[in-house]
Amino acid sequence: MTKTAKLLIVEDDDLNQKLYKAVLSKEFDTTFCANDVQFYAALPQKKFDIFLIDLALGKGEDGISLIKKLRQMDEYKSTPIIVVTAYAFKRDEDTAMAAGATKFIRKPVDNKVLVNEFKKYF
Amino acid sequence: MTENVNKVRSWAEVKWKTLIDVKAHNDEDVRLGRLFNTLMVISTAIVILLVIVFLMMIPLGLSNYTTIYLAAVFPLVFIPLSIYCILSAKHGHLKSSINIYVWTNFAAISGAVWLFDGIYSPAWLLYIWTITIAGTLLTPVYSLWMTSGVVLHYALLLFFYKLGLYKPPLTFGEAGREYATIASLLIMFMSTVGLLTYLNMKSLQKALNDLHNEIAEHKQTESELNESNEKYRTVADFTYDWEYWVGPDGKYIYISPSCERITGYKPDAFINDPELLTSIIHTHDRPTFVNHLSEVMQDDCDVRRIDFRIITRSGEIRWISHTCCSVSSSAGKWLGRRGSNSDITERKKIEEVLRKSEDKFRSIAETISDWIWEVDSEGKYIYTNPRSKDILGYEPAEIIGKTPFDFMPPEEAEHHRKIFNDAVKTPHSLRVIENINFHKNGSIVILETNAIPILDAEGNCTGYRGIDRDITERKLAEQKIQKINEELKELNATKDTFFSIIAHDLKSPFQGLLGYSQILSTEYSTLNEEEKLFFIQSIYDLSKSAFTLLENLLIWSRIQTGKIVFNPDVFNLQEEIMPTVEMLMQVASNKNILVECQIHGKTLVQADKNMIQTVVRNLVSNAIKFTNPDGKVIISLRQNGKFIEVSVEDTGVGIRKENLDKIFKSGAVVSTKGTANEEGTGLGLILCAEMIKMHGGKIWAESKLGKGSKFIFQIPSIM
Repeated sequence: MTKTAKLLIVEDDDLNQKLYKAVLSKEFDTTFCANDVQFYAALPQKKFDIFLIDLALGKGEDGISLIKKLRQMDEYKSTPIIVVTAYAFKRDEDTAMAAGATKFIRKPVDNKVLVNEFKKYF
Repeated sequence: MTENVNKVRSWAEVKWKTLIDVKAHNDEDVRLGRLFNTLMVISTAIVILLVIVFLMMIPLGLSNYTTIYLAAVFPLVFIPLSIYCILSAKHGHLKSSINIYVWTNFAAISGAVWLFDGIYSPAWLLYIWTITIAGTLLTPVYSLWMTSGVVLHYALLLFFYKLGLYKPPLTFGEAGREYATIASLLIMFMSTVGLLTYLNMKSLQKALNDLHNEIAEHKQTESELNESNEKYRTVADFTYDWEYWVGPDGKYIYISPSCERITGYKPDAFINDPELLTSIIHTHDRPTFVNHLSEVMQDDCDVRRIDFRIITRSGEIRWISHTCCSVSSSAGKWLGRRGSNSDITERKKIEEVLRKSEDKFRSIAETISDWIWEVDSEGKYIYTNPRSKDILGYEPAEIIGKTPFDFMPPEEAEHHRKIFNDAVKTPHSLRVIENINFHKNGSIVILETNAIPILDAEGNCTGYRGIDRDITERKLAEQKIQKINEELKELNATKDTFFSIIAHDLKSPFQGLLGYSQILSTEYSTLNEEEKLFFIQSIYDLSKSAFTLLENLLIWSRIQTGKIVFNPDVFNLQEEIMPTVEMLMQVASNKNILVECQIHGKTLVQADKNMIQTVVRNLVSNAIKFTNPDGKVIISLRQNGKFIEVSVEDTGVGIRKENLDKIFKSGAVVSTKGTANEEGTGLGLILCAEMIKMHGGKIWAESKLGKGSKFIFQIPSIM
């Protein structure tokens, strides 16, 4: 395991972003974006190894749309995409999985569980 | 040969008829005239015979020439007399002819007697002829008078002869007298006796003929009478109904044997006991019958008819239809009354069943809440029960003669008239046909029609009979239910979305709450003070926003479940708005936003204080939230007709046009962070809308993106 694994986190809530930073930055090379604009700006900077995407993103494209976009890109065709959302319904999970998500995690999620989920892939 | 004889005979008969026929006014005169003329012919024959007799005396040498010639010439006088009389009679002067002839004859014979041989004259015999004719043609009295005259004449001649005062001027002499007397006697005998015998025989023959005819006629009448009697007896005795004839004395003259079939009593029983009929009549009907009897026996009243019950000999009750009429002879004599009793028990039973059945159906038809009707083949109402009044507002009398289509809107009428006309052509049941009608008061009535065709013996449809049910309420209820159903579906979908958003928003803070508190509890010793403070601050912020959301959610749910009751009160709007606005001034000044409250003076409203405060707080805090620093929020108020309008205007970011309506609806809870990243619950405006709705007012927003928004709510003012 190496800290070089690059993680892109898409989370609109400021406090949540800060929580992810506190929890995941020690283990991964993390990049944060709060909406679609920041997301598209971050993408060309690095080749990411894994994604954390929230579904509800306020204004602009939502998480599902971003997942679909990623899956259309050759380089991210099979990159793990972990969805962490407060949407609790089964149909939300189905929609996300159909769009190409690798894993669907419901908020609130335990910090350790979250870290271990990402470590699994490296 | 015989043919010629017959020809001659018929010719002679015609000639003879022509000769003796006379002109007359009646049959009797015709007959008399014929007889008279016949006698005139005979008379002429007698004259000729007498002349021959007298002339025969010359060759016989029985008398002197003077006497013979005078005697032969004397009768010739009668030939012209006879011819004159025939002609006169033929011209209608029969009576005078007879008188002239008879009296001339009488006088001539008297003269002859005086002239020839006096009391010994053979002419006396000639009186026989005269008297016979007078007696036959005039009246028998003439014979008497003439006979008396002849006797007196003879007595006078005898008297004068014996006194020597008279001596006959001429005489036939003894031998001539004997000859003339015998000859005259023979002629008179032949003519007179022959004539009388002929006449008598003719009368006798006529009498016999008459008698014979009379007997024959009588026999014929008798046989016809018998036949007729038999016919009537047959008719009467074999008549199915119970027939009778009561004489003027009240006794039965005839009663048909069929009475036994109906009553169990034989005709004799009724004949022997005239009271029997009355006594077997049911006690309920007896007074009516007795009254009827006294009425009809008083005078010869016309046909009367009554129905009554009798108790038969076996104790059975039978209904009788009684008809009676007065009978009188052809001469007009009253002969009593003829009665006819028929057994109508079966008919009465059927009538009773029918009556009950009709009663039953009528009472159903009259009391049922549905409208029952009957129309002819043209669709015109010929029956309607009283429900037409309740259903369409028209009395049955107003409905009769109209058609169902008269009560429908034109298009509806056309549509249903076509259905009806087709149904008349090919008769079939009409089932559950919904149609729109106008009530008399103009309102709409929806009817559901069911009908069946009425067919005649040939199977042609003569009309329809049916039931109309007022389904207006049901239809309206159906429409209402359908509408509610749609609303519910929509609401349900809205709520689904709403709940998923709420669930998301409620859960979201817990990620931070749990995450930060976990770090604090597990890694507390490794964290520096700054980190610790940040995490604790974050936990506080998250808790606060979660609590606000929860609180709004609870208010919303209490409104939804009716737990928050609209509790209006009359108050001055300014007094309640100002403190609310002032509470938010601090937040506004933090962002350097100017809040201007342009509400002055007293504006009384009848509203729920808490709700108005909540609405104003939400609108003003939103305005502050979405306005950039150095912006402005203006709260103002104005009267707009019957409403009071409160508006909150800002110079903020504005709202996209497509979102202007959505923000008040629970279907799309969108929480947008403020210009200073303020958290929202997305429920505030939804709550405002609910509350204003409870006031009977409305709320809406106007906005220009990047320039600002204006939120306005309207509540009814106190007039």
